Amino acid sequence: MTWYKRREGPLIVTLVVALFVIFEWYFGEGALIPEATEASAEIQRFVAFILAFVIGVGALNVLRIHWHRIQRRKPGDYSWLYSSWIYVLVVLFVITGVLLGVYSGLRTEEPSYIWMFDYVLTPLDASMYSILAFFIASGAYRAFRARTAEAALLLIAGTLVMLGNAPIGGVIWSGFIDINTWIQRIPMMAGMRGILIGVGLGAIAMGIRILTGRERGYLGGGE
Amino acid sequence: MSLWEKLERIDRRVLYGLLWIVVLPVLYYPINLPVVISDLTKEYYNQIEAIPAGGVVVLAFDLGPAGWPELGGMCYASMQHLFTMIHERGIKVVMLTYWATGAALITNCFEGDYGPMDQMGADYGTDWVNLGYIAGGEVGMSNFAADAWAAKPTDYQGTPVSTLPIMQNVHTIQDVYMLVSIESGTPGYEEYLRQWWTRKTTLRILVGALGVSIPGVEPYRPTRVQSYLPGGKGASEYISLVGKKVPAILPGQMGKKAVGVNDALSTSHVLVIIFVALGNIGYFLRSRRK
Repeated sequence: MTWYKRREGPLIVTLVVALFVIFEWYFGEGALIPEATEASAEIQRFVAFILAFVIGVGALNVLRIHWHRIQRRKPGDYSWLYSSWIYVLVVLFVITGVLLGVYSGLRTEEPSYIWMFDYVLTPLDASMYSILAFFIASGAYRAFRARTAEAALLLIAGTLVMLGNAPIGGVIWSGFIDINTWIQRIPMMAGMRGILIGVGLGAIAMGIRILTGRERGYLGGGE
Repeated sequence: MSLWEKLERIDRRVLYGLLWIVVLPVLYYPINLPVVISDLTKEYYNQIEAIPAGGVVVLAFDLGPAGWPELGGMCYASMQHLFTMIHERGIKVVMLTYWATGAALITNCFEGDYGPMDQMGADYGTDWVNLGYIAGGEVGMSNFAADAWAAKPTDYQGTPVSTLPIMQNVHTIQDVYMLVSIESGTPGYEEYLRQWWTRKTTLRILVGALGVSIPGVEPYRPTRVQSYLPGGKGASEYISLVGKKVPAILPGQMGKKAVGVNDALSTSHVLVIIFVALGNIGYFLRSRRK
């Protein structure tokens, strides 16, 4: 196995780049070594380019998966039609968004791209998200049962927050808004801050594990 | 099955159907329930009113079409409010997005696709600019904070930012007075806090977020995030406030929608509370009979 295929190569690159960016944060601009700032910024711009490139790789991967589904279609199973539809839409969006957008100089204002965005993507995307309202309503009806003291507490808090958040709550009694504000600013904030501090400590621990090569999940490929 | 058991186990399709019935009519024919302006919305509004003359504001639309029905109103009203501040106080507005889908939403907003947008004589390139989509997510934010020109060398139409008068005074995050971020996920306020606020701790941050995201924003207020608009309710309240300053916004598509959303939120919440109450009544009565 050549050296660049081994895990040590990517681990060393990760360590060097991470230490450089961390070093710059503490000792760069306005501190000991201002020159480090420009180099660190260059690295981060490079990351932005890679991330932009990854979108293209992701799109190709989606097309590859759906190509396999079309190839392996079985009699009576028409789900391959959805995979074909993805090809149609990807081609249409690439033509309108990239080709027509660039050649006309209109970019995201290209009329056919805007039409597809406004009348295809926007309603579909918004509909998918809006369906949540039905699930949340059904979930609240089933979950908010005062079976235990803790569940009763959750029920009372949930109902008060709902009344405080719904515009009609404040119209019925302004106290609902005050109660909702108190719940959000005292008990909820205390809980959320505890969680956030825990997440922060976890991120530091994860960072140290990555820097020391103990955490290798991000390299992919399994052990 | 007894009546109590039926109350406890109402078919979800009944609930779905009733939700349609209470939401749809008020969306199309609003009943104009009063809008009570919360302290958060007043603070959001007052923070924008207090921007000093010549202050640079970044207005970020970090959202996609999924979040548009809930957040569109506040996007539109924030832009309209900032245009009035350009007119009144000569502030500068830099629009951008770290979401690929956000670019078209910005364009639709200032072109007035959602209603009359009074730009009040503001000059593009001098008073405001649309940088469009900036790639890289959180890393893109870090790049912009360190060197805005390098992070986004052109505006949304491909014009070099070096040729735009407004950008002559915007090089790093140190040149920005306020960030107004309307967002429906990641990257969003947490990434801005990590990459922008840590570089400039005096940066004023206002957030417009989905209702479900609010528990995550609240812990940062008021020291990091000065105020926020919570979902559709916040949008309705804010449009009502901005509407007092720019009356044309209220009869427009966004103004009408805000009233409808305000009513629909009320009717749907009341329905859910009624069902929760019915379920619990059924549960208690059945338990007592046992």
